[in-house]
Amino acid sequence: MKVQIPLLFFLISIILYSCEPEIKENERTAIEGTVIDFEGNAIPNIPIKVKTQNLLLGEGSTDNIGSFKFTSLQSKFDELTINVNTEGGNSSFGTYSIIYSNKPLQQGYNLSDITLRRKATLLFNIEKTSSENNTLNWSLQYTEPFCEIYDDEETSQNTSRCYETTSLIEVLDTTNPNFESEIFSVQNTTAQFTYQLNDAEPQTILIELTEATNFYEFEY
Amino acid sequence: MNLNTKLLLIALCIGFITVAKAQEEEEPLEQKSDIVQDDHYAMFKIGYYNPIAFGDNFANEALEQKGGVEFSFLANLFDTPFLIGLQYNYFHSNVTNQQLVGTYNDSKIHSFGPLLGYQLLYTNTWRANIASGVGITHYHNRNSGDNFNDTATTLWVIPTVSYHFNKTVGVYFSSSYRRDFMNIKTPAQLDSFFKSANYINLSLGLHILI
Repeated sequence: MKVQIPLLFFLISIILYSCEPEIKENERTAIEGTVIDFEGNAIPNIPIKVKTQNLLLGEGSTDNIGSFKFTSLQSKFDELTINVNTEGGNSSFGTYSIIYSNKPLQQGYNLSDITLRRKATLLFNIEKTSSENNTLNWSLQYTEPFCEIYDDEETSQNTSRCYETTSLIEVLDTTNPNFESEIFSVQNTTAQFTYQLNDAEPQTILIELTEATNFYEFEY
Repeated sequence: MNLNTKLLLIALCIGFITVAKAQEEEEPLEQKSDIVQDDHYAMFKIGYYNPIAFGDNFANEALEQKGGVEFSFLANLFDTPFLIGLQYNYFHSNVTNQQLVGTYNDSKIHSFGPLLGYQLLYTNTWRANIASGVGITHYHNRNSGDNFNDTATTLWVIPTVSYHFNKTVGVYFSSSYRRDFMNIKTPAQLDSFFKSANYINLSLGLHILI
């Protein structure tokens, strides 16, 4: 019985904590800023959403001159994410998120000049056409189409990523001979395809992503 | 002139005409009841409550008021025309512009507080009084994933005219002013928008005198 009472209190505390509202009472915050492309032009109709732990607190969109201004509810916890174009569906631009955590939230957020880069899709295909027993080591380096910034300095250094280069590495052989995928990157950047066939010298091919949709096919 | 301002003017006109009409009917002195005949009395009101927001504030610009109910009780103090009592009212609002107030769908608004009043007119058929009070208000707001409250201190000024079919039962009409002084913290640019909400309330219902 002595053991059960603390356990009961513990369970009740967990239930009460989980039922606690995530929205701060009697408080509102103002979100404003502008969204531009890589050339500095305003982008209209870009959705902006403010969330805490997946709960939507506020939303708006950019006007004809790329500006947005709206009121949001305030998170009860010191955690808030401002997502720009993250649920844009078939938008031709990448996404941008700012994550506020580990410090008291502000009463207003003025986000001037958020830069979105145009998305590029690379339809990338590697096909084995040779009947020989070949092994292909390959990698593809390309630019990610998103930006994720942590406002907290400590977390920011380790975790923030903004249009960074990332790599895809695979080995193809007779058991796994082909590869086909859609790679999402940034328009007007270059993807770098490096391959090594068996023990031959590695070769590099540069793929210019000039269009919204690009194709590249490699046969070995 | 927006719709709410027109409704406000119409409400004030109706209130003024009703009081004037009641005072005209009061003229024959023999009809006038003497308070001494009925030294202690208590009035209950229960009825439909229809708030109309006005002004440059969140309640008018981003919420659409629906009807509600009100209940009040007033009793006279020490055989005088002075009244003391309590009031409760409830109404519902839908959010029409989430960009102005944040992402939530609707509000259930409950108010409660004491009233002080004065009996202006007291005949066999017509009665009129004015009451004022300060109370507490909760805006219980519903978000799709969570609920939260905004609170306010509310000031009421409530003139009421009632017509009685007999000594106990009658109907009343009231066109009252209400201001909710909100406790919402905002950045400076939103301060005036969330500082207060103004309403004219039209009420109609049952008036019981005991």
